[in-house]
Amino acid sequence: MPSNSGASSYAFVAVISFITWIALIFSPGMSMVAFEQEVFVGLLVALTVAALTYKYLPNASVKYFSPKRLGYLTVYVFVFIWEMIKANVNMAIIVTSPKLPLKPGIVKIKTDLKDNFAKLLLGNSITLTPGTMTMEVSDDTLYIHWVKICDDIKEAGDIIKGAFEKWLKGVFS
Amino acid sequence: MNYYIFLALISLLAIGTFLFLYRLLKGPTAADRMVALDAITNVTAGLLMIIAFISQRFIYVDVTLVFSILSFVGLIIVARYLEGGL
Amino acid sequence: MIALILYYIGVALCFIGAIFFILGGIGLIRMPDVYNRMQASTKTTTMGLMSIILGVGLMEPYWIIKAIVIIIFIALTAPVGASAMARAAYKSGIPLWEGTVLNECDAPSCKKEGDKQ
Repeated sequence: MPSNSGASSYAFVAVISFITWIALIFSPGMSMVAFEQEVFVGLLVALTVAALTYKYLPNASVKYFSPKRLGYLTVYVFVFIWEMIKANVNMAIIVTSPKLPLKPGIVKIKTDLKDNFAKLLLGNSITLTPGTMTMEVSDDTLYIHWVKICDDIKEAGDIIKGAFEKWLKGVFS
Repeated sequence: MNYYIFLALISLLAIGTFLFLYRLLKGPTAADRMVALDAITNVTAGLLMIIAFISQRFIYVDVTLVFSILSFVGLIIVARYLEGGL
Repeated sequence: MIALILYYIGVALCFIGAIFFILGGIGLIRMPDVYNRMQASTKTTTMGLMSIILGVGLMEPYWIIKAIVIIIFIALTAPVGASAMARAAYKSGIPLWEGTVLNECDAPSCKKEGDKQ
């Protein structure tokens, strides 16, 4: 969205870089002095990285740190974990049954999401949920390979996207 | 007791690796082999984590991170190559 | 006490991960064509790897932060790799299995090498 100001995306990139830095340099046996030094260097690195890259990320914005969106994101993560466990049990049943119950096909579905990162998350969720795999995303259409296709193609979108799109809309609206 | 737990764990990973290796050697197309190779790199990353725990070296966790980054980059490069648009 | 409980949960998660790796291997051998094989192997190995890493993170509680970083990284990249591989297989002309019931793929970036419009 062009309505976004540069300062907002600069702050977002800096905060995310700093959190990533801290998570990466943290090691169990660290002394306090070393940790302070690393935090100082991390601040410098985060500000530099943000200054170099904020132009290329116009959609990044501090509005994603609001509690409502973080709440939606948390719910999305738990829904995702649950669906992933279901997908793996489902795949284990398919793989170990003596006659492979396969009925594969490629369907195409539409999505309402606009943001690129939201589409990435939706594609990843679809790949890790029961029997479906994203093959290609172009604009608002997703091409999905499906192991066990449903009888009515009209309902394919609702079955595949499941609950994900609702929560992702909450995060990225 | 711990010795037998980790022996069993690593034996299970070895069985899995042999199953993937069958597809890697036999696979009719290059895409089949690449999928099997990606699965084997995933097994290797898991094995590195277990070795990090057994030998109590934190540095192997970093090795796992770098290993998964490199395997991802390799997979993307081979995919681009198969598409014909490297 | 709590460390012991975490330790056994971690061991259980590691075994679950290893079993999913074996299931992925069986799927990779039994499935009929490359797309179905990709489905079987990608889902199970991603889940198995995440489960093993989380298990080791629970066995050694100081390592949990970096374990979670690796898990987030894998959750973001493994499906992208699978999608790229599936698209590459489709574009390089590997046929779908003969039991495939439907093929709606008509994206301009999905054209096979053979059929130039």
